[in-house]
Amino acid sequence: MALSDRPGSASLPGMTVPVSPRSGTGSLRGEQRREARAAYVYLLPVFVLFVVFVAGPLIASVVLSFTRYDVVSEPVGIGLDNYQRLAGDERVIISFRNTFVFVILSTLLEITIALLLAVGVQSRMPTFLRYVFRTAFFLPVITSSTAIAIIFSYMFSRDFGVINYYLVQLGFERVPWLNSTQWSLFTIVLASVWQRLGFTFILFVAGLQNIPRDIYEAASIDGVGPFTRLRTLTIPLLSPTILFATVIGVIASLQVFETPFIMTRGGPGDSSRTVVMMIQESAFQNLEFGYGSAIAVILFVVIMLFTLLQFWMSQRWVHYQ
Amino acid sequence: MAAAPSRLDRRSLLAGASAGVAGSLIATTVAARPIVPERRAPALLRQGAQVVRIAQFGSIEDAETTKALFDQFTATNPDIQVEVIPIEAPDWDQYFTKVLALIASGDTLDICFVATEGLQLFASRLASPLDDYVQRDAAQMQEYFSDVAPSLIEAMMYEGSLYSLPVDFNAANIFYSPQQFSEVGATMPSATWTIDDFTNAMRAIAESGRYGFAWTNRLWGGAIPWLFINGGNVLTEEKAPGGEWLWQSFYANDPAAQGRGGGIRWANSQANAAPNVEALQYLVDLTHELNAAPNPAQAEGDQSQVIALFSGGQLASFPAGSYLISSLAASGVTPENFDVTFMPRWKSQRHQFGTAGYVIMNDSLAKDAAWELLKFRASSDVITSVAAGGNTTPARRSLASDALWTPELGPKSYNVFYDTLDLFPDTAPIPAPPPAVEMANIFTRYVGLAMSQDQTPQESLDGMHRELTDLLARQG
Repeated sequence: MALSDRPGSASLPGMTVPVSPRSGTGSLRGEQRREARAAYVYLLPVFVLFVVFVAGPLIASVVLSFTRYDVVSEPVGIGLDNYQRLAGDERVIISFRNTFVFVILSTLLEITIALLLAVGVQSRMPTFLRYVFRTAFFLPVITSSTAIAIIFSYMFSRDFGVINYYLVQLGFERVPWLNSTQWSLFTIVLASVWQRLGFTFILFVAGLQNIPRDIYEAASIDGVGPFTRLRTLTIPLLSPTILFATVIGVIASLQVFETPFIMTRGGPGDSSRTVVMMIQESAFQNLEFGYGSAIAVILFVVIMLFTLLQFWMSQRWVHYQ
Repeated sequence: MAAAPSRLDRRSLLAGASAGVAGSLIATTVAARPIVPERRAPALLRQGAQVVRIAQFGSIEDAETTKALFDQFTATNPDIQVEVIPIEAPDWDQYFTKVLALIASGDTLDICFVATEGLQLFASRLASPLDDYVQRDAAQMQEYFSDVAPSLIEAMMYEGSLYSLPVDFNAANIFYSPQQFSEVGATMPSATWTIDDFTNAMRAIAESGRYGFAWTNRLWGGAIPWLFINGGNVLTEEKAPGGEWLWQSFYANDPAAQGRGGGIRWANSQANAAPNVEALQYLVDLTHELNAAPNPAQAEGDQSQVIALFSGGQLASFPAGSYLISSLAASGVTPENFDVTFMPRWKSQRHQFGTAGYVIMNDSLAKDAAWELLKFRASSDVITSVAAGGNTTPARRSLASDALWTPELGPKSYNVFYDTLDLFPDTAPIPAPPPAVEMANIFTRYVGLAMSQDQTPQESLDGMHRELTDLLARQG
């Protein structure tokens, strides 16, 4: 059979031109179906994992949030009782407030410090030194959060901590970093920012490398100073990366758990208790899985709203090249 | 020109989404189904032997030690095999949570290691009473009960039934450094010392630039012992009815068993009672007025910081039980450098203790085998091998003095541990009603607020009272 006779080919004098198989004949539709089947097969593992570990538990949480369930006995449907109780639960409201404060402080600090560090590391310096800095800033990201929280607990101990030791040497009073309602949340922010900073830093380093050097050279010829360059060139051109880092940072902050759990157990009182700690406490300590699920559903909605809000706001300040 | 059709058209997308929702609903149904009531699997059999599964608090190494103990039993009873499941947690509340998660996931447990903190939680929902077994084997059990203080037995009873044979216990005693007390000329701690002796010693030690006392904010060994010696408690204590079958059969001639009931009911909150406020104020003053104690760490069983301070000569005393002896030895503290005594007398010298033992689970289909294992675990030989080396205080009186005292480990006054039960018969278990995990959370939270001086002791105990009242009302 001549090449030009094959389905999906068209012959012109002197050459054979392949034709797109999406041209509408019956056999082509069959090929589309085969391709689609192959695609579904490739997607199947992810789809199954998604259903089992994300969609299933998500729907289960929503269903459980309308029940009273203590693991040992059967779930009992109680309508909206969990949500009504939640609305009047001062501890839950405090945990949401703490979480919002944590989100704002940690995201602001993380973005600002990571940006300054990234700009600093991208400035002129020996390549070897640049790699040392990049590695050093990134190392906390791959360190266990639990280990970091334990070490920070020792460092910030009011009575035995190294931080207070130096403060006292410098003539300051001991600060009750973990034992005071004024300080505990802020101390947790410091520990979290220290750990997560490296991830945002690496994002910014990658973003900065994508900015064409000639823009900076032109600015330099025009006599633009470093601060103006940062404000008018770097930040606008890095804005898609900043948006991504902010969205990721906010979502991670809204779910913060292990650092406050290890460093303060949410205390003193509820001063550093976060929403996820409340979910864990309700479901796994108090065995109120229905109530814990109701808090989780509200947190899910809040995360969704926060993310939508960020994307909506980004239309005003994110510039895509 | 016709537009190229997308590879994933709308119909396919809708079909996929529908399949996803259906799959999710199936997963949801599976996830939400009640597991425990439906679990009626036959007893686990392996090579013809019945396998008894035991949940054990501790690491994999601890589980291996436990397994080795029970293997001594299975060597002579080859029709029973033991599988020990290690459950590691920082403190009892998280251990219980993990056990419940294990049960919820459909895992089968026949026996569970339980301490006072969770006895009523298990007894009220998950564990099976031992009354019939005890009465059936009364002749054999007489030897055990005659060797165990009645207060430990009563702590393992719930609403008239016995749920566990206690194998060990720890009361909150005072470990101290004789050198540090003598260096500042303070009254040496003794069985008859008072709260004033203690306060004067703390003041003197603080003035020497060291800490006199350090504690951890948890249910056992935290603020509760101070409430106890001041005549307080966060919950009301009543004797549950029942239990005569046990007291009359095994403790008829023991004066310490008089007036015992079928367990303890902690039914109502009295958290903001005056003795509690006074005791908490005392602890706040010890930290913030006398500067004699560091602010307590939050709710962890880990006492490593306390041990580090004590072994480094920066701390004169702390509350602990004999379980800490091996850790002190590992930190280089020799028997000459520490001793143990009772809590000082305030309005009373009532101590607080926690005891531990094994319960048989309601759903176990190997209950008879489990009971044999419980008896084996409570035998003298096994308790001796577990408690040796300063790991805990045996529940058996005959083993709690010279038999387990090791001169190389100390302390000199080893007999204080069991004397706490015998000399102070009103010594009582940690208040731990069925919702003990929530109660511990509420308790440590409000004690933390008082210790950080964010609230006065009165304010914090008022808050604690409100929450405990709500909790106990919710639990019915």
